[in-house]
Amino acid sequence: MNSLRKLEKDSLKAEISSLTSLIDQISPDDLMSRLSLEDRLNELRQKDAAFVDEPEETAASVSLFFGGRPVIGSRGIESAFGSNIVSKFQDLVSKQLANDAGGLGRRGIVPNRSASTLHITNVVRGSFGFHLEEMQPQMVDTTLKTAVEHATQLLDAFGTENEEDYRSALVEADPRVLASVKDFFELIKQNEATVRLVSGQIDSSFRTAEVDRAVERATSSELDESDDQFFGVLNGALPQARQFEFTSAEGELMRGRIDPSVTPAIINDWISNAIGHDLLASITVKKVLRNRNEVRRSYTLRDIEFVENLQE
Amino acid sequence: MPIPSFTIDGILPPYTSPDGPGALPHFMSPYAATSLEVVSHLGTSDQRRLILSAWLEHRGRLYQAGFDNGFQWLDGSFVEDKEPNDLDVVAFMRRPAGAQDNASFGALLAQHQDIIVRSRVKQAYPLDFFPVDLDGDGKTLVEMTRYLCGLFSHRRGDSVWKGMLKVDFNPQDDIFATQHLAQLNAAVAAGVTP
Repeated sequence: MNSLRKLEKDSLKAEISSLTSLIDQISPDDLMSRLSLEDRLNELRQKDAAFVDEPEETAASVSLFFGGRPVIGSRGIESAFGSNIVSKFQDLVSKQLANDAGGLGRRGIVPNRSASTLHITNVVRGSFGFHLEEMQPQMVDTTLKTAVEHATQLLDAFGTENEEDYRSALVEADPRVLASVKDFFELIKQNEATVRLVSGQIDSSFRTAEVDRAVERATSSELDESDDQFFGVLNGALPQARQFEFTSAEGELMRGRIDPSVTPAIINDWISNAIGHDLLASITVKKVLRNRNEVRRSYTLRDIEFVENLQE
Repeated sequence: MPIPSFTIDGILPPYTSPDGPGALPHFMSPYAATSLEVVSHLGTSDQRRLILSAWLEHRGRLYQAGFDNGFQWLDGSFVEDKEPNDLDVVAFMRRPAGAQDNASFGALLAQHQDIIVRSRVKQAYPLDFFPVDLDGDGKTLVEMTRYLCGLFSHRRGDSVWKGMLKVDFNPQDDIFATQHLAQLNAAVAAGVTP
């Protein structure tokens, strides 16, 4: 759901419950008031039902609300902070989109930046913030919408109290995307700001405690990613779920995802011909380090070769 | 008092200042205006003039039914810088003479449902009409006013604080407003920009 629509829906639900309570309280003799309020309540219930039937928006949209030192009530926001923080968020989304498409290198230019462009389409108040939208919706969910979802989910994970949820989210992240998350939260903290982000079903608020937690995590976490090769045996692969299980020659059990570059046809070929054979597997190992200690590891299988073929 | 100009957000400001839109003296919403001022300031398109005509007609029918003591808040898209579909009206009304007690007032309402009941008014006029009984239970009056003021002074979604207009019931003013509306329509029909 478009984030402004989500805020409208929240406001609608609040009004419905408030009206219901008001109708219960008014005197039975106040016929005129009762008639108009009941009519209004029926109308709102119909609108609420219409929200359920409304097709999901296919374009990216997100609202960012800011509070704290840079903001004066709902009247204004320091221009330097406002422009910088939106820029940091846009940078995060650009890198997430490139990562989703498999094109984000370890360094260098972020590919296809123009496809990740969000526009500021409104100012949102309550505190003060911006509504950002993708301007070219399609018939189905756009890749930018997906990238914004991933980016906001990642930001949300940085603030969560649950450390395991955070680590699970982090292990899926890309190091450059992680750096953008760090930049985002550090700017918030430096300016003694708070932030609330609303996108799709996510409505996350970062007050001082959450911002501090996010900055601490961003500062103390690292992603160590390496493309390695292991001798061993493929125990199995799931073509639909794109999962694999491999036991290395040293007895290490590795489970994880199969790289997007591997086609379903190739996976099926592995299932038919490679299981149980001695193999050389190319596996990307990603380690999540917290204060330099490894706390989580993930594996992504990129390719396999038969050992007998290597010996030829 | 003159009606303030729209702000950069396309709404009436919640308050005015000598430095604000229209450079009016310090004042807060709801801004008091006559029906003539409403027609002059906001009757800027065929659609708007149509809605204003309906509004004045409805007011006339309220007067005929005995509801000639009270005032209205005008709000919604009609008092924003856009082409509206209707006019939101909250009408704070005293009970007519001879209908002070609940039984006779109830009978009067039943007789005039088509100009009192919101859904019935909507069927006949481009008006979203909320009547409020100024002679009813005091607590109810406060709760209704609180609810309606909150509803109409903020824009859902982006929570912008916005202003509205207050127009007293005044049959004589409405006559002038109706005449002016006719003049505006005649000018448009003659190809003269009002």
